[in-house]
Amino acid sequence: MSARMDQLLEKLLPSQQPEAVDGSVTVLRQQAQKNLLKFGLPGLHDERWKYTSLKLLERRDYSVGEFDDEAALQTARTVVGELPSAGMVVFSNQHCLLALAPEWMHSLESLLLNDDSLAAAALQADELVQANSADGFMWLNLTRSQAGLVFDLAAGQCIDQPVHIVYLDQDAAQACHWRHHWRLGEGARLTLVEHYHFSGAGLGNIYRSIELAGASELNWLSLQQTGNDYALIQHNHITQHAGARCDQQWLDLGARLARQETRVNLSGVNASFAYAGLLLGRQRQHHDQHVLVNHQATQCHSQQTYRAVLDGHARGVVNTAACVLPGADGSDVQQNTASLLLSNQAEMDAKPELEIHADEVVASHGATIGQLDEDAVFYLRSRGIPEAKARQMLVGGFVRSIAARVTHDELREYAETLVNRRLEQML
Amino acid sequence: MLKIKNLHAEVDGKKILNGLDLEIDSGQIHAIMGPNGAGKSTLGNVLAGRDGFAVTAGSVEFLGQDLLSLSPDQRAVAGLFMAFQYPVAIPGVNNAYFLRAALNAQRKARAEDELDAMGFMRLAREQARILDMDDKLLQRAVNDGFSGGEKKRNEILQMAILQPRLAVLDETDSGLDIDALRIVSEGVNRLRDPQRSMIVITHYQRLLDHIVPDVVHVLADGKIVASGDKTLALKLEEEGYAWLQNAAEPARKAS
Ligand SMILES: Nc1ncnc2c1ncn2[C@@H]1O[C@H](COP(=O)(O)OP(=O)(O)OP(=O)(O)O)[C@@H](O)[C@H]1O
Ligand SMILES: [Mg+2]
Repeated sequence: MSARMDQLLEKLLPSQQPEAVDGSVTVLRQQAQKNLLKFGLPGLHDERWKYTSLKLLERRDYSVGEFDDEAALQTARTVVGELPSAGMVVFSNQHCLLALAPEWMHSLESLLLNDDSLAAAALQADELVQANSADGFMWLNLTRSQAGLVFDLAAGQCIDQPVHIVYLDQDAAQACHWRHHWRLGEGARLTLVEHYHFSGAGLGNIYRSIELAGASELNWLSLQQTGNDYALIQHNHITQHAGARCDQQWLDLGARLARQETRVNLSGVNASFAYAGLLLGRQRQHHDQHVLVNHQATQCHSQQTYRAVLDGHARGVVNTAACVLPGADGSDVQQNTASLLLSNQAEMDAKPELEIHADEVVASHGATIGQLDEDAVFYLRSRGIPEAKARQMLVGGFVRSIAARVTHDELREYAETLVNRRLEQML
Repeated sequence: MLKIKNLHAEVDGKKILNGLDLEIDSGQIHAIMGPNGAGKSTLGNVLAGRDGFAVTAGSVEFLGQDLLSLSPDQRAVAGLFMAFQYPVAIPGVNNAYFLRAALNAQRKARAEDELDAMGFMRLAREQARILDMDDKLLQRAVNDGFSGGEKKRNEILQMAILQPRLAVLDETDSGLDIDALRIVSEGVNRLRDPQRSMIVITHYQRLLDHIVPDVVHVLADGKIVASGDKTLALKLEEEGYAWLQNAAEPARKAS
């Protein structure tokens, strides 16, 4: 570990040790801290981190910050606005506010106080973390996370109106570690929307472990339109059992640095994971996405579709990987990334990876990087559409397929509006 | 309506228009014929204001304005419309949405009321019906996956909706089957108006049986080398362009 990195670690890991209560939680946390100190934070020499420098984070100072629950709830209400809602969870600094949440949702904070078994499960490093795929931010999250959302939706329960999760900061420059543990029981169905509304130069470090039992269905929309100073680092571990579906739309519109690593295990027959990602970057925004799918069972489907539009000095990375393990016959794997560079300084890395060790696999992957079609711009202008509007329409058309994946009508319209508004600011 | 004087234009340093003169009065239809590569589409592109087509000399006056000083969208707002020889496909942009955006952009620029979605769809469906065009094409992405003929119809549909003062139709007949040629021509004829002029670029006299021109020009080597009435087109159909090279007659002004 470099000296600079040591300093960053010190900033993020104040000398205070994890609370000394007896119990499995404490043991886990101590182990995590040991690992963190041993392996350190990831650096450019780590294959999956080679595109994302932590220099930005090193320059910053992080405080604990004040918070005000009432103000946070108020802000969250305006964020969700008129959208249909089956409940709302608000994260403000290191706190999880459940005042408006459905009763089957729990806060990690309160579970920890009781050293509940659910808390232990939430902190339990799953098999993916045990593997060498874990990085320093995951250990950091495990040792420091206080707030998080924990639930186990009962078998057969279907919640069709969206549950909203709103992340806020009330004081500039905090480092927050949130840890989620979500489980859907057999045949359960849930729609989740995450809204990120940070304004300061803080750091958010989110870890989610998600388990989808047989034939359950998660519709998950992530609307990342946070302020342009924020750094957001996320790890998701998803396990899907037989026939489980995960439909994910991930819109990366804001942030100074947004890195995301999602690992998916399709462990039951006929599980399906469909991911649609949008990167809209401008100025010096840095978006780095890694979505890695393991096909472990037969007849599973995975689909990853990305659209990236980069302007200014923005940087985008999309690493899609799928590994079809021996015996996972009849797998269907699709990866498609298309990128549009609007400036000469913008930079895009698209890295599709496909590893197939089974039979009768249908696989396709394609990655294109291009510029706006000037003939099309002229075509629109020749019909009387002003240049800026013409460019917006074309870029809007290029990215349209991503927000169009949202199945819930009002959410889709909302997502489309957000994207269009962002494009208006960009172009 | 349109006065082109001594127009010189080049693309990538290559001289393509070499002193072209053309004058069109209100309500007239002028046909332009001429060999491949003569500069017919170039003329259209120069009029529409495409980047990369540099005017090195000459002037173009359109409805009393200096056309060359306007941006492509301003030219459209001023009443110019270009039906392209090769319309581009625009994946992801809905055709009806595009048409309404175009119409409303023009209306807005002219300080007219914008049309709402319902009013627009009524207008678009009606015009599509006249051109015997499948309604479904309105809900597809602009020209994306359209057949050659469908693209050409879509160009004329835009013209019918945008109601320009001057339309340049660049080989609108190529790619149309025999029935489509008749239907599209009827659509164009319906748009004939004492206030509206057209330039019809074509290789085939056949189109001019349907859309009867007031004047026929031959464009070769970047200028108008012959002009006449509709019988000129018949002569060209029979004899080709070779006789013009020998004729060495100076370009005549259209009347
Ligand atoms: N972008 C370009 N770069 C280089 N040359 C060009 C370009 N566009 C047109 N030209 C050349 O200009 C000349 C005139 O082209 P233009 O398309 O105007 O011909 P045309 O009269 O419309 O022919 P056609 O009947 O085949 O449509 C041709 O030699 C063509 O190759
Ligand atoms: Mg041509």
